[in-house]
Amino acid sequence: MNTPVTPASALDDERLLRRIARREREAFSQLYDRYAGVLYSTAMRVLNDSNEASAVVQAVFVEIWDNSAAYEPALGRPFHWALAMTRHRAIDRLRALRRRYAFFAEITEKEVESEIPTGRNKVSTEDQAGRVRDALATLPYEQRQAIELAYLGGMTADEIAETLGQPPGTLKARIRRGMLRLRESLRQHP
Amino acid sequence: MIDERRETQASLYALGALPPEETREFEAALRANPQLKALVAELRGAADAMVTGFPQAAPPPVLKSRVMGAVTARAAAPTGSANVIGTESARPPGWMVWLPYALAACFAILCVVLISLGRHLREQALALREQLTERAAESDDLNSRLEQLRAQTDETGSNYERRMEDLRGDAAKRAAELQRQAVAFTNQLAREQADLKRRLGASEADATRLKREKETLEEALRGITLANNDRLNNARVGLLRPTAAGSAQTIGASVWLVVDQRGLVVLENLPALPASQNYQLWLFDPNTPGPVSGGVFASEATGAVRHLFTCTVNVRTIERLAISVEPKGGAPRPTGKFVLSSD
Repeated sequence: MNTPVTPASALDDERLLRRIARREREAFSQLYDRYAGVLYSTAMRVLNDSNEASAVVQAVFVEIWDNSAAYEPALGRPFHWALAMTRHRAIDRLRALRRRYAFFAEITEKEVESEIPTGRNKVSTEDQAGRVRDALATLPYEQRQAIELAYLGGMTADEIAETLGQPPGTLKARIRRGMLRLRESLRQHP
Repeated sequence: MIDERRETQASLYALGALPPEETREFEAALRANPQLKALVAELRGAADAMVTGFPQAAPPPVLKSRVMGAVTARAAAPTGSANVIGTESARPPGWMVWLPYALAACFAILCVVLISLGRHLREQALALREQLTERAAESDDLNSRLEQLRAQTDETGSNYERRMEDLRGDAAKRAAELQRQAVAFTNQLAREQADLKRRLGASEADATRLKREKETLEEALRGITLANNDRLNNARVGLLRPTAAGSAQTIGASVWLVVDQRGLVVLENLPALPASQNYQLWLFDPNTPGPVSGGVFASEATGAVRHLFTCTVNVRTIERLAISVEPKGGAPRPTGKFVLSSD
């Protein structure tokens, strides 16, 4: 399967992690430039608060610095590892703030002003992001809403069903169909 | 082939939304099924790719410097971590190394002060709350005692008024009783006074009557004396008075003519006797061995008796006259009680 993070970039990320494990600050700076935009956007998507999202991202990068030597490629690509840490920390913070995840339905094409370098230095290119947006656009609203509440809201299927007022069986079937469809869309648009 | 149930579990597992109670069972199946494991990897990649399709937001520019400063401070710390490979390419300035520690120390001191202050305030609040509770309890106790005293006061006042009412009632009853007794005593005195007056009147009437009878007898005696002056020289006159066995109301007088050997007895208020008895007159002469009978007589209904008598023997000297109660027809010698006797 192709993801926005290509195999080539994944190899670059693994080399950066090995250099970081040797305490090379330059490698750490490069990894930050590659991941910071996506991780911060993810944290913002969950928390909807710039200060909270910044704190989460800073903690994730410190954890990468501390545990880079323990990274195992067999457990997943570096980007997925960092994204998982970001998502879990953001969801934990969301629960600590006693807030519920707010789902935003629109998939905007809005360009956000960024100082992050473009091109190979980013974790994904604009083309890759565009393909993901196309794949997401093929999903019905209800499937996209259920998938995002599960992935970024930190809720179980039963909790999502209760939140949306749907029977649990219907909600689970909706998530299954949406995930399989998203996988197929990303396969067809490599 | 993966069935729908496993596909659903794989989707939820990739999103992190599989309930904990199902996760253990699913992970066991995952280890045993490479095809399921591949599906999960694909679904997880799709989920992670999803975030790149969201609107991108740029992190604050200062965030990178903060992150770099944080890892620099950690690199400077003598952790001896096994994760550290090689040495740092550049060592930060000394103040930058110690700045986080200084800030952390200040923060720790501030926390200690705030915790101490908070604990002190909490203890004060607890003490004040306990005092408030005690005061409230005392207030309740005082209110309760006040209510008891009010109730006692009301009860005492009520008892006092009731006692006063009882005393007034008793006093009124006693006054009425005393007044009734005074009236009764006054009436009794009046009755006794009237009775005494009546008895005094009766006594005066009796005295007057007796006086008149005496005067009558004396008049009769004077007539006899005048008519039979000679005979009267030998007459013996005496008064008959009741003895202890006789009636106190009876009174009488006697005259005995020695020459004629006959006499007269006059009696008043002589009680009546049963038909089986008679009064008998006895004359006591020292010259005879015993009393001489002067005859028997019965009482009249009016109590007045005039008895003329003679003796069967000659009586020269009369020492005393007496009247006794004897069987009907009389007796030769006195057998009954003497009811009248001369002086």
